[in-house]
Amino acid sequence: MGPSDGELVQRAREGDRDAFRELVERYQRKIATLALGMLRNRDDALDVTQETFAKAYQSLDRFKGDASFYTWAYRIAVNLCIDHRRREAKLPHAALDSRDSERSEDPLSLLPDGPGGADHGDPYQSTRDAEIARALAEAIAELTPEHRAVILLREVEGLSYEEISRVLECPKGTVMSRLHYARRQLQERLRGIR
Amino acid sequence: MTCTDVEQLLGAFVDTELPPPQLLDVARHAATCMACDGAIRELTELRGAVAALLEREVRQLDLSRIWPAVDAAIDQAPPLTGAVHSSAPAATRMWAALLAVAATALLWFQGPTTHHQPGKTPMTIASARPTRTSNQSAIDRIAGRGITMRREPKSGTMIIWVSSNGGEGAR
Repeated sequence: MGPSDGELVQRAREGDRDAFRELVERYQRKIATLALGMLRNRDDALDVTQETFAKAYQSLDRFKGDASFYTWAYRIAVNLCIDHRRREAKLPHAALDSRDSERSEDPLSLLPDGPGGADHGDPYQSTRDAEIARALAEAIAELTPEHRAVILLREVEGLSYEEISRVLECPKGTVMSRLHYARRQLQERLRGIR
Repeated sequence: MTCTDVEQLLGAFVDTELPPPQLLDVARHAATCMACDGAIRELTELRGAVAALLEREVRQLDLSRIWPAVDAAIDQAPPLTGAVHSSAPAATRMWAALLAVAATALLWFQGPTTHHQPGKTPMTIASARPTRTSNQSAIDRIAGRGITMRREPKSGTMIIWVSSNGGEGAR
């Protein structure tokens, strides 16, 4: 069993770059998943993931031991994603359009095992799965950043309500109501194609 | 428990965020109510679908480029002075800074404490302070009893001669 997050944070604070590298490698997939869900663009997700860890390193002195490293990193990532989307929203429409074309919208990529992935042996089922995945991706994209964050932190990252409230710095009741609303939005969209 | 009651608790039930007694109540109700059981299955499926969607997409990301980029960003950033060398809270650091300013102001108002002249070693604040220290008082008490003292003007070192016969001291 490797060192705990707390031990790695302490070593990183003392200038041990390898300890911080281990933290990055431990959580980069989780942060990248969250960023991809929030931004719906692969390059932007990677950029925000990198920025999250760079910022975390620069802020290690402000990290309090009472929170876990990953909830703290999630908080940085969510804030960066929200900032990124605000900046993007201010871009001229032409630029936005070109960015949209970069998004992962290839229906084949939404199939259960990606392009050229597993063959169900049932083309109808595969097409339907892709359709559901596309509808879900669109429904997530239509949520506000706050609703999107809460549903990703719960459904994908598996955080508890208490952890989500710490990441988003809002009361637990707000987490529950946002989650309820977001789920309802997604369900309504999926009902249309089921 | 009615369907309306359960509807309010469905999300927390699926997330296992309900206290055990309520969790059991909802489970008992769902076991006998097809509508609520269906709603629970739908929520569970939704979770699976969202997670699967993101996991598939993340598998296509090249995560190997993250650490080199983070490493480079850290190198370009200013050194981690606060993070590495001090874990004191901001409030403590602020008070320390205020105390340092206050101490400087106090010394300033006490008047000149050093008289630096070219070619001469400046006296330290402690040695130049007009108030007499307890050490100085002790030296005064024993001075004249076979002890002679002289301060070296250049270095400020105090030289003490002690005589074994009570006369003029020897170094």
